Amino acid sequence: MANKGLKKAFFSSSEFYLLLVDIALVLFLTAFTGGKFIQFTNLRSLVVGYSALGIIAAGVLVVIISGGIDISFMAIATIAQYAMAQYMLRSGGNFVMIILIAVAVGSFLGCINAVLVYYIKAPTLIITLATMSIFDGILLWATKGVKLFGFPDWFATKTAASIVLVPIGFLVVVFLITWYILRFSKMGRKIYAIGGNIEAARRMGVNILKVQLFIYAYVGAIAAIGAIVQCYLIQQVALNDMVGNEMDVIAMVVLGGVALSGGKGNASGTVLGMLLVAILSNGLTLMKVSSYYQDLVIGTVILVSFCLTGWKMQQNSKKASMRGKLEDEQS
Amino acid sequence: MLFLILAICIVLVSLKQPNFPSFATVQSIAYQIPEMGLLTAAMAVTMLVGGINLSVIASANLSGIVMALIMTKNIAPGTDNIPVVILAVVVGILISVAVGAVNGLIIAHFKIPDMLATLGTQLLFNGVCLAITRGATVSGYPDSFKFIGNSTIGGIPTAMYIFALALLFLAILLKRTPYGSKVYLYGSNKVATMFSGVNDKALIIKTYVISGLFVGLAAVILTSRFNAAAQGYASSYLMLTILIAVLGGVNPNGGYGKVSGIILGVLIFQVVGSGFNILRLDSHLTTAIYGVILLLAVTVRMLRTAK
Repeated sequence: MANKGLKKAFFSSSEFYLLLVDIALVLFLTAFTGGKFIQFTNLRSLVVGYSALGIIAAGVLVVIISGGIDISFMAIATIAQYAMAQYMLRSGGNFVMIILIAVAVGSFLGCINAVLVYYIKAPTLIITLATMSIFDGILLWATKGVKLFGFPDWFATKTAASIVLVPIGFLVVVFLITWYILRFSKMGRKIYAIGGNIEAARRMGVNILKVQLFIYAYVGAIAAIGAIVQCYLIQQVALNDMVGNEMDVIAMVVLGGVALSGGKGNASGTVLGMLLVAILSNGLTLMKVSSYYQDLVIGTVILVSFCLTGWKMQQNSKKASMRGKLEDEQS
Repeated sequence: MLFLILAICIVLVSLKQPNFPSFATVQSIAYQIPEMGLLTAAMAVTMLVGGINLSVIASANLSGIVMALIMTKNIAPGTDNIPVVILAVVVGILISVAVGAVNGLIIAHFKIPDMLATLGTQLLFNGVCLAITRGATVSGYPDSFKFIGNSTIGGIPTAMYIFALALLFLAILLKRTPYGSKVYLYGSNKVATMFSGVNDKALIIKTYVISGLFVGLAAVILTSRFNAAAQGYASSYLMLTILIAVLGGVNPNGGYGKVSGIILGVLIFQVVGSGFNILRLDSHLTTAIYGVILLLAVTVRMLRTAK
């Protein structure tokens, strides 16, 4: 009985539809490109190319579940990247140290966001928009836009195996951790609670400041890890490598079926959302669609899926209220 | 309060640059006010209903590009053709109005948060701009079009008249019509407004259409003043319009904000901006400082609402 219910829940979930869309796209692209799409080299470049953005999507997922938004994460990622690159250029460094430095910088800047979000109580978009300009402006002013490259050998040497294992390894680890936190930890429950109804969560005794500190620090830390992977893949640190891709990451998360008003969503959906964006943009290149039209196609897909998610949520809440459960999704 | 801040800013800047309050500086500020003010108004009306419109710049660029294409395709360089210019302006404004309607429809019918819906349309319309222009800049307009953004009538920039009329229209709309009272009502309490029989879907769509109208007017002035149109222009304005709206006293959670506040916000912003220019401040540092000002403005706003 329980098993049957679970199965039904799976088939009506947005992940199931997303999986179908992903599979359909893969089949279509494989047929259209005469098997080129499914070749190992293409699949590898697809996953590797989107690994940094995908890693960061795991962090953004957590904020959106909590009913907020963070658009400063790429600015944070860039600052973390500069910090760890400077460290490597000055003292060589090692793998553990660069992760520690990047994560420390990222989570510290995230904490600044959290404190502002908690005390100012304005829309999180406006607060993180402000911190984004502050982080970005200060970084540009302080670095004068210099590119950093020529890293020590241990970081610069890329083998055929490491170029696949490092990004995918980080991607898998970050998603497993996020999945574990959201699914099994107390903190995860509190994040969903805040996203569902922040006032109710407060009255239940959830320490909102603590949870928000965790959420925004987590985004910052994950963004910093994404920045390390990005830096490893392209072997340089520049100001415009990451900033400007915020929307792509947010789109991956929202495509993954996160309830747009917070309180719902999970890591597996975000993986599928990330694959959809990656497959789509890789497929457009393989199909030789001019890069001038790619933004248009991807923008359309994202907007349509936003609308579908919104429409489905309305259907669900109608069904729920017909069953007598007066759930007020909107407020 | 805002008057006081404005006065302090003017005095501070004048201390550094004694000839600041001269006719020339006032005129150069007056050239920049209309475009910024209209974009801020476009942002502010959506904030009044508790939303936000992140597609303003993308939409303004799309309007600008289409206007530019109509004029450059149909008017030979060096000649003038007023009917075509009028057609271009009308089509340009209609495009932004249409973008506003799309935003409103998506937000009202699919119940998607304003932020995500307009972020999505921003991405989409940036894509449209890129597809139309293939990344190129469209420039070279007839004199009658350049007149809008680069000339004066009686010593006052022409665009200033457009700005004044548009804001007068907005003030009347918000203060004197049933629509206006519904906007403030909806912004301060959505659920109560819904239960009092207000058609919230129509209200949201109308608000985003009005926002689109202001974007369209701003696009005309921007394109004329820059004498060029391309995808990605003026992208730094997005944060600034939110900054000015909040500075002018608009509550980002909805329900409060006045046209006079928007005007004072733009004035303060322009005076501060010229002050930074006089001090020869690094442009990136200026961005950071604007971020700090936004945080301060939003903090003050929230403290005043809490009282």
